[in-house]
Amino acid sequence: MSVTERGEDTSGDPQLALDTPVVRDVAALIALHQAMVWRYLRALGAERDLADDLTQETFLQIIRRPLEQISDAATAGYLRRVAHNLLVSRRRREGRMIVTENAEHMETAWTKWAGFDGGERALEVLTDCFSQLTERARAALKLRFDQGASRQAIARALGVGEHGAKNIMQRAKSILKECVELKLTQLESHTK
Amino acid sequence: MQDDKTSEQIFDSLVEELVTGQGPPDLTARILTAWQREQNAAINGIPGVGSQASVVQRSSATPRVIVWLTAIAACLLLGFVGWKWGLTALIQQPSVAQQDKIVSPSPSKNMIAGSSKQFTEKQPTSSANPETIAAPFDLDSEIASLPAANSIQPTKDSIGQFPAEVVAEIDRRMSELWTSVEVVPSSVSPPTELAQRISQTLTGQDLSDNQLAQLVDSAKQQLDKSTLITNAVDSIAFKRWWSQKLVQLWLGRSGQSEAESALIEALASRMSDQKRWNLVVAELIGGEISEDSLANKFLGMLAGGENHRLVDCIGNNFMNQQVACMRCHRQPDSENLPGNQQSTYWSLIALVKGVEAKGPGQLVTDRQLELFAANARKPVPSVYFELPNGALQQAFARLPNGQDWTSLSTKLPRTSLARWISDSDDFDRAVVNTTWHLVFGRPLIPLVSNVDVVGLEHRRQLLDFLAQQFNSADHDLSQLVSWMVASRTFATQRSEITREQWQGFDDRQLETRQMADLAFANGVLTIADAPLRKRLQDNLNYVVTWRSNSKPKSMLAQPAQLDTAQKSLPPKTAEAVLFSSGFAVHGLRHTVAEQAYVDRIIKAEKLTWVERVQHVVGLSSMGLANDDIQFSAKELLQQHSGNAKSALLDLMWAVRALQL
Repeated sequence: MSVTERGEDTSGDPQLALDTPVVRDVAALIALHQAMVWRYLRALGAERDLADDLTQETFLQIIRRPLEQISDAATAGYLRRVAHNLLVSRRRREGRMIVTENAEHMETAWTKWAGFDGGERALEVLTDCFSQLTERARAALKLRFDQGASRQAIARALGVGEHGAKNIMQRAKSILKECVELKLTQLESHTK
Repeated sequence: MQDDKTSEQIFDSLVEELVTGQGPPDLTARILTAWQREQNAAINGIPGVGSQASVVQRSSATPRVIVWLTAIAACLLLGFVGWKWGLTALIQQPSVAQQDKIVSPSPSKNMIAGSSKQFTEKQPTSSANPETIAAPFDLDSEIASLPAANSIQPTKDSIGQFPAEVVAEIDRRMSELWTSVEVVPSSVSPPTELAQRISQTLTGQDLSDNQLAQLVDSAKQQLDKSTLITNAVDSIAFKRWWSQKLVQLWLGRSGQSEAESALIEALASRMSDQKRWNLVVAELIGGEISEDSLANKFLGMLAGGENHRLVDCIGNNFMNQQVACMRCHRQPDSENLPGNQQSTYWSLIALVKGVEAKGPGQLVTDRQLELFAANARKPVPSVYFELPNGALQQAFARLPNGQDWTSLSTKLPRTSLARWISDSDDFDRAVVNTTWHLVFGRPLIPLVSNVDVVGLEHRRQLLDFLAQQFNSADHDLSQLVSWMVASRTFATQRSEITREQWQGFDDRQLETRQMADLAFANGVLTIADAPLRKRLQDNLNYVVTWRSNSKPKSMLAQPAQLDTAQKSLPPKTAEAVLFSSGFAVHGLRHTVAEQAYVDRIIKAEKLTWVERVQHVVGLSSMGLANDDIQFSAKELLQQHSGNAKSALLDLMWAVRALQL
């Protein structure tokens, strides 16, 4: 069942007439950019459900106001700004802060990792680099990110001390970052 | 530094996506549906939900006269919308002919195009002549036109209000309550005292002198409440403290056993993850059973026998309903649950049938998959219960709204129950009520409304308001607590009276003080650390001791102005009475509602003494009376020479003193 923020069931709604030009255009825009917007919101710290909701709201904001596209990259940047502001507004309402309210910092960092394809290439490269880690390093990262395990639990699982667990994870991430940066740079130079 | 942190955060999110395998979902249909709804609402004035036909087919089937009326209404609506928000040409007004074909705005040249096929890819350059380059969309003005956090002016009853507005609304409604019952609230606590109280309530810890110095401006006598509260609810101490308090309330225990500690830690971890509170509760009741799972820890503490304790806990804490009474009869004052409420209670029992626990800390057994597997040869699982007239009736696993548990498409009945509860308005009310209880010392509204009726309607309305705000704040428990703690009601100073003052009070003064307590106008009551059962037991012991003491034997039933001889109270018992502000010493101070409640219990001929005791104990959030409490209640009956009404009034005092 797909649900909105308020738990409204959106399944079973009337079949949309997808054969109109407007709807096709909108659907194509969404198809091109939705993964990027969602990932961006997750990177900003939005929970999954919230990322779903704000991705929807981002596109609705765009659709409501006619705009002139210059390029996909510019549209993507604009979508990220809208998404960023929606999340900031939401967090302010909650009396909470996100890591950076400065959209420029976020944009720079995002472009570094995700480039202009919404992060697809970065993920492919990351998958490759991840497979090259040692089994123990992979296990540590899985426990940390998949199960939300504490450092203590990770240390127990790996049979090391807490300090050791911390080192393993730091080294694993450092290796991953170097690998990803190198491969992305190589890919960029190949495409130029 | 900021850039490094941001970069790290983005990288982590990519690693998380890889490791969990949880990438972006396809939201295309959902976004298009939402957009379509907006279009339909704008044109027709009604939400376009629920129609089985496609938009085009529905339009073509609409009678002409309705189309004309719809077009007129749409024009009026659009005119109003345009005037209100200054929209220009967002939606072209459709002609009747257009309305027959399509219910969506006609595309404009500048409408979104999803792919670069339709638009020439242009890279913005800085050196070109500005007259020849098409002006790009103005990012800053577009973003500036998004609603800013402080510019929204919510209406009095609007949901999704900002924290300051919510707090102001709490204060306004409490002020109305106090006016309606003619009490004057105590003055606001001095800043240092208030700061410590806030810290204690939120984290269970005192502030150091250094921390106080940073928060309190001594010269202006002002407290930086906002910083204090924000820092406190963001801390781990808050998560741990509140997890402990909630577990103590749910289980009626001290929270000190290993199994309870494990549950507390697991809850605190969910809070740290900022998981929505309704989803946490759904996990408690309906989650996966495994050694380390939250559901195992929670169910392990409560399941067993026919699972009455589990159902009572769920009803009291997550449905805002005192369900224990419905085990034996319909609850006349309950508005929430529909139909024959006795069968509703037993349906809840059926929904958790098959969940068995051998004890805290041990793995719960869940046989629901096996019991409820669809099988034409097996009877549908049910439970039997006895009606007041002695006849037996069957109850099936139905949700509180009467629907079968399978209607929510889950694998297990308890998962259906968990989902239903976590999505319901009563869950929101239940969380608000228990949170208020933990902040102010008593629930905002009683689950049994016969007895605690002071300003009840105002309190109900405040409960509904806060429940709506809690829901719209994504079920953020820390936010809910923050609102309450930031209110003027919380800041009210508790005025204690000395023994001498109490002895000198006349009836009117005592009644005024009692009203102020009941209306939350006399400061916050500190909830003792001991579990409810122990505190009730202590109160009962005081009462029994008092009654057994020959002098003064009947102090509990005497008004304040006594002769000198009777004013001499046994010191220990006097202290016990003083801690409840003294009014309970005066049996005549039992309110009309309390006496009426006891009268009703006495008149119910079918009730045994044990069940009568249970009905009084059930006024607290404690749930069922254990053997020790029943034993003490019998002692009271003996002290009163078999006079059940007097004994029950004494028991009523012991229960009410838990809350005051």
